[in-house]
Amino acid sequence: MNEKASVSKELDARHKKILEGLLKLPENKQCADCKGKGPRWASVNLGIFICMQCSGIHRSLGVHISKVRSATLDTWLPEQVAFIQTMGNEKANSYWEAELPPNYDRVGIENFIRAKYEDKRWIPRNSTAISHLQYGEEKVSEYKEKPDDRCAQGSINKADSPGEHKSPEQQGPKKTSLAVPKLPTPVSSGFKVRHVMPKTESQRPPRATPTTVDTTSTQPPKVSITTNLFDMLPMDESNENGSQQSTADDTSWANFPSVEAHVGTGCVKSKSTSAIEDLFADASLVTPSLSQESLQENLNAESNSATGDNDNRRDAVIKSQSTSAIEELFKDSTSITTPPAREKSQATATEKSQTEIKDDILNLFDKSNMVSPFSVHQQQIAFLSQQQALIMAASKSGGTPPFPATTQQPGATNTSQTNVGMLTKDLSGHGYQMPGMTLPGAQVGNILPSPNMIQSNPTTRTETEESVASEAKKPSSSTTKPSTSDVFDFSTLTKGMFSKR
Amino acid sequence: MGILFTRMLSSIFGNKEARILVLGLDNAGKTTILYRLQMGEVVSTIPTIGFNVETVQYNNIKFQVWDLGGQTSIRPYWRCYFPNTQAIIYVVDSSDTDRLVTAKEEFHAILEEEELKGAVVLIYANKQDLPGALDDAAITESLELHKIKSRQWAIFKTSAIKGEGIFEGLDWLSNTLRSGSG
Repeated sequence: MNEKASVSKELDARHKKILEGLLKLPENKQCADCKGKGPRWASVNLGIFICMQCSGIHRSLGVHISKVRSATLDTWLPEQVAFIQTMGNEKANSYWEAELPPNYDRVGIENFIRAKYEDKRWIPRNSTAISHLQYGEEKVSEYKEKPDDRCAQGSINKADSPGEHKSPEQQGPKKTSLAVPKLPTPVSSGFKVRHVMPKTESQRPPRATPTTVDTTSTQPPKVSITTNLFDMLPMDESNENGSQQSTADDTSWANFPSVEAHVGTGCVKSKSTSAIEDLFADASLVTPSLSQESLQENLNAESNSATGDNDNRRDAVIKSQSTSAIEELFKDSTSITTPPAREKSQATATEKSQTEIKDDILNLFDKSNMVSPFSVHQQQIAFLSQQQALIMAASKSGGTPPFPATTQQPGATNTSQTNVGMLTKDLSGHGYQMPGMTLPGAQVGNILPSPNMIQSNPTTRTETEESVASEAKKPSSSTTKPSTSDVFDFSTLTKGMFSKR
Repeated sequence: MGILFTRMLSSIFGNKEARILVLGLDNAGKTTILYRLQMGEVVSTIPTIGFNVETVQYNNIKFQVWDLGGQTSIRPYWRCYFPNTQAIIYVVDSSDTDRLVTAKEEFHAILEEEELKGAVVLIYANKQDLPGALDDAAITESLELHKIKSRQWAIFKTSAIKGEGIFEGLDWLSNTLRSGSG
């Protein structure tokens, strides 16, 4: 790619302009990974802007994960520019950092980046199927699974233009980047619970493991849901503004009457339809409040509300939403399995005594550290949130019945899909064969071993093996992966710590 | 004059010097290879804007290795380093199949350069450790190496991360340079 010939000077200049403009957006003013100021580099397949340091790490991941270009020094292809326009740091992180604990300490940025994109540790948990989209073949089958669920818009994915995907393994990562949720999925059941759970998570300080979310929020239909979601993505990407999305939005709204009553009103009052839609997509993939908030920010910017990223304003918006939404909640509470956590978050805005309780809860959560058994944790949440709900209900209008907090049934995740079928290739590391070489004139174009090379073989061979041996002590950079994404793998934390800078 | 003197001296003592350029698209692994050669270690790198230069003593040859940045807009500056170059190490990311066409174009553009007419060419099919990396035969095909006329060249499968193939390539280079220019 990046063919010089295919991009004219004028087009390149236009691309530069666009990229400059994108870099001025608040979301892109800091590195997508380390939050460093003024990124000038980008990953064209992830659609993010990163700083130079992080770009070095991204480069080391390999082009099957991240393709790094300079926003100023490289020639971009039209589809790459178009894609990063639709993506950007905010949207990308709402996917890649969906499950990231709010106060996560990004010490050792290389480990963080590897965990984020290589291990996909913080992508939405209930979407294990997504990881399949990383690699060509599975992706195709996923697409075939639910062709009908794609929304009516048949527009062609820009990034999918010829030339960009020449081989399946190159195709994969592109899809990943597309795989940022945006549209709500037409599923009426289960949606609510899913929408609720992220809030629960958001109330918690650093979470034990991603597993927690998995079981709390997973329901049988989920895998297919996510598949749907991702089926819709290419189309999603092709929309450069929200105009088209709103139509898709309308159709999906039809499937969500209850949801609309639930949250929608709160949103509609202050936001455009695309905003809601984003919100929903986000929530449907179990996103912690952090990204929800950031999404809000994004939306503020998008909805052309002048200086959209004012923090105070954003908070105000969120509050107003939650207060109105809470009223809604109580109106039709009988039919809805009300999210306790949601109440919790809303309660803070209204009731003082509840904030105290929340603090207690938070304290409790603080104590629950990484190793606390999941089940206990789960019970705690259930119990506390139930309590919370009761108090809330009592302190509120009085006529509202308390909601059961036990509606989240842990479903079976499709674990068979957790293992990503990586393209493995026998590289025959130690049984290294003398590479072919050609001598001038003699055999141009033929790869043949040469005698003098074989002679010099022993010396170099030992040297190489030595270096290989020393290498072995170091953690190998790109090949180690935790066997399952559910297990918290500490090795990845230490990984790279020993490599020389 | 001084240069001539040192050359004569080094030829007496069997020491040779060679000026080598490491070229290739961005993120091919040029800098990692340079420091692998020089220190025998894997370093974490950031994109090279400008160049890195190191001296590597190997097989009685003192290689002055120039690693030049590969970003699109700084590739035109490669030519500033072409004079007096004995060898080119052209590095290809074998897993970046999308950009092999670009790699090929840049490669053949280099070969066209008058100032590099006498330079031998060593191609590293790098990043063999990554999934989907093409082997040396496939890279030979993609880069259309068979079109090379009247020039000594060789291709090696390498993994700078694992340290494979790099010194084998340098062996070939030192042998070729020694036999080529006495």
